[in-house]
Amino acid sequence: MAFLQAILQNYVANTPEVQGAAVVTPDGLPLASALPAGMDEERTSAMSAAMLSLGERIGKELGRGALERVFVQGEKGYGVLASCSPDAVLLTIASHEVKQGLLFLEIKRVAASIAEAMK
Amino acid sequence: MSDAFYGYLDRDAEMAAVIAKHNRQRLGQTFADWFKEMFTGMDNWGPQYAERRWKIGIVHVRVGIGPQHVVPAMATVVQEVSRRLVKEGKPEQLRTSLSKVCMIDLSFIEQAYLEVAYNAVQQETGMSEALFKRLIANGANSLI
Repeated sequence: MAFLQAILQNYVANTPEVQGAAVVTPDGLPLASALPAGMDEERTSAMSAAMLSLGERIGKELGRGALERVFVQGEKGYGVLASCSPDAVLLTIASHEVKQGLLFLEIKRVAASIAEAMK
Repeated sequence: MSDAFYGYLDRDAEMAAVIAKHNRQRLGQTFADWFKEMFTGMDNWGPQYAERRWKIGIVHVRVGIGPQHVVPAMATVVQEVSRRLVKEGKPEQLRTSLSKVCMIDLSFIEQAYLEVAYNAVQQETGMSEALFKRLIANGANSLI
């Protein structure tokens, strides 16, 4: 999964205020990650997949259509989960100073390149 | 046996409340059928027997009887059977065999309880079985 690792490192290094990212399977298995030191990759991956899964169920239950992303806003910033493909979920964490519109655009771009790379 | 079983459950406030919602006579008959089947084995303790035990487990879950109540209740059955066998001078092997069958029944009920709970959470959250197990494993690790 070196290609995924390269995509993530490039993404984190070149996107302002993005502090980390990971690609995980829908079953919560980490495929690649560029997360900040001290963050538990295994737990983060499982929780990310669970959150996206639950988001999809809630979206369906509330009649909101196909899920675009799950957005977590905290005091110190954001966590965003987006599906790249049926086999991959992208987690992005960013500081509260990030411009949300730009972040969402960048997530879409990276998710598409991950999906393409995994074909 | 049925009287001993329900007499034990009646002493537990939570169980007594569950039992009170159902027809006592019908419960007694269900218990008697279940107890008899342990000896007849229905289809020689085969798939039909297993299926019936599985359904009994699911019914326990539906009415809110958790494993914490099933284990001591089953112990009451084993204890009462032992008492009767000793009183009637029956061989020790009979007691051992019946205890084993009771433990098999207990495992069915426990397994049904877990699986129904797992399946319900998976259905509501959309999580796969693998993800659900991973979360449990991670959570368990963090508890130690």
